[in-house]
Amino acid sequence: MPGAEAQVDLSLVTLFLHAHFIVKLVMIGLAVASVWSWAIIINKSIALRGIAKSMDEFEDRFWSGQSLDELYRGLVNKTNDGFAALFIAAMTEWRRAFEGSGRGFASLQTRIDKVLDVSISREVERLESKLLVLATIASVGPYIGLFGTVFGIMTTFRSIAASKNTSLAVVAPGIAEALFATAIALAAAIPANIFYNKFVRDAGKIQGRLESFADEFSAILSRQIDERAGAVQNRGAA
Amino acid sequence: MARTLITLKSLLDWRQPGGLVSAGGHAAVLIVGLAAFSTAQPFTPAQESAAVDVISEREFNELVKGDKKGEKKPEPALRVDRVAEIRKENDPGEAKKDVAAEPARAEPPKAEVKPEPKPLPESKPLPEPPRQVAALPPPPVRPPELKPVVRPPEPKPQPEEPPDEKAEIPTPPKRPDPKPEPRPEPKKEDLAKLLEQKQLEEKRREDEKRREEAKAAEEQRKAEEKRKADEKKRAEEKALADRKAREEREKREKDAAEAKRLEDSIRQRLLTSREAPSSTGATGAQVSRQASLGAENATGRRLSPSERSQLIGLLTEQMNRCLSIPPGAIPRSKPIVALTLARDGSITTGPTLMNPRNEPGYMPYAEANMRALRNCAPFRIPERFLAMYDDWKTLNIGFDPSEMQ
Repeated sequence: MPGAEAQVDLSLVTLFLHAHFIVKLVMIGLAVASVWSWAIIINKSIALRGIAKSMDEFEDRFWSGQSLDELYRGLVNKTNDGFAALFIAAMTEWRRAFEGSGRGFASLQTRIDKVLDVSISREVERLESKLLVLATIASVGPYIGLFGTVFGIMTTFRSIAASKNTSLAVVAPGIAEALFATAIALAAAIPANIFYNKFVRDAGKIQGRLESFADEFSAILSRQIDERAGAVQNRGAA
Repeated sequence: MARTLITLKSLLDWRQPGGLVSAGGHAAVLIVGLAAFSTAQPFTPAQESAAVDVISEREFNELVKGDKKGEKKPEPALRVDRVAEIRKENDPGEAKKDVAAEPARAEPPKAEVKPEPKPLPESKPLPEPPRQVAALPPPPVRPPELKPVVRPPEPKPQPEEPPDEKAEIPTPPKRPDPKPEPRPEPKKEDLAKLLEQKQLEEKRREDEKRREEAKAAEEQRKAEEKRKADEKKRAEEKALADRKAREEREKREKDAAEAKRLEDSIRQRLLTSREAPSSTGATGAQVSRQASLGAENATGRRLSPSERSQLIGLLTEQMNRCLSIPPGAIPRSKPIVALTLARDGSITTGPTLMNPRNEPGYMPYAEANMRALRNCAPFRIPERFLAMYDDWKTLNIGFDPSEMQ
């Protein structure tokens, strides 16, 4: 494919082919980084939108007055994220406490809180996965491009010194090649930076929602625990 | 390695289409880039902007007027040989400081010293001031130069001029002149001689009365003698005349040679003269390279300010006959009325009031003036203005209310 376009002078392919080996590597690396960052951007935005949507749906169902057990039974066999994951984790712990002889009420509240915390951190980790790649591309990409440019200009000046000719026709192609590296770097880094900021903010928002839901759900469960515990004591007393 | 595989697998996952979409998008961008950057656009050399003059309709009319095939003649210009001196007027208080000498001032007296009009070429550069000072002594020497100019009245050279070419022609008429004059002089002497001879002859006749036979011979001899004397006399006269003529010719030739020498020396002096031309020339704002004949020109004539005010005065004077201003309508502002005139003095457009105002009395005053303009419409315009028609075709006339009071 590059061979076909090489005959067109001054095209992008010609610029690439005429460049120094290191500059070529830099260009290839930056192009791959651009592809990767855009893949991450697309996947991440889809995932975040999906999580936000499922969280809204779950919230509706949760506060619709449906029995928690029914909700649990409906969700337990699916892969869950967001609120549903928290809910399943907490309910599993809850049900486990009642499966046995009814003992272990004392520390159930603590266990549920722990489970919620763990699942929150797991969810957040999932949300923020690969954002580091974006951050790296955004911050380091320009430097890599600059390196390619500096190297290209260096080789250009060396060829000027060798040919002892300073006419612009000699200088221009080398500098164009060199600047091409910076152009690719900026093309990769700018969207990476923009979407990194956006995703970090979105993930932070979702984390806040998860934590508030966990607190709320924990409060509900703790009320239930206290009621059950009171009922058991009354039964025991009777 | 396993991670890379997972990453690659995730790129091909349908639920996470980012990898495919991104790769496809980059491929598309690359193709678009190849198309867009396939050829570098060379710089187009900057085109020089064309100068455009905005001219009014009148200027255009003046421009077009004339013959299409006629050659362009220079603007009529006065003959100017040197730039007029601009006298700098200083304040009296500043006179102490600024004592700039006026260089042109030194020249005029010199021009007075040399009254002789020299036909020197005017293009000759003016000599430097020092040389002028050096040249000042000559004036006393110049009087001899005057001679050739004054020479004509002198009697000698007058005939001297022709002799060069017509030396033979004038001599014949001269010859008869001396002849009658010298004749009486030699006659007196000859007559005395003749009388003596005659007396002798008479005596001889008386003495030799008898010898009458010899009388014929005597008479023959006498006639012979007479003839001889005549011949002698004639020869003498001729020699005298010849001598005189020769003397005269020599004198004439000498005079001619001297005159020629003088002339040559004058010519030489004039040719080698480095003196400033005594003609100071006409003055003007700038030196005219070529004085025009003052003939036709491509541009039409314009009204001079005085002509313009004259024309407007003529119009207002004619208009005033029809003017009746309503009483009390004397505004403070001056209405200006625009109108277009035809060549015959009739109004083609307008009159239009250029500056309508809300001032009391203003509109009635302006309208009265415009009415008067319309009513007196065909104005008499003197013929001398017709050449400048384009200039007064459209006129703005201001009617000063203060003049009405």
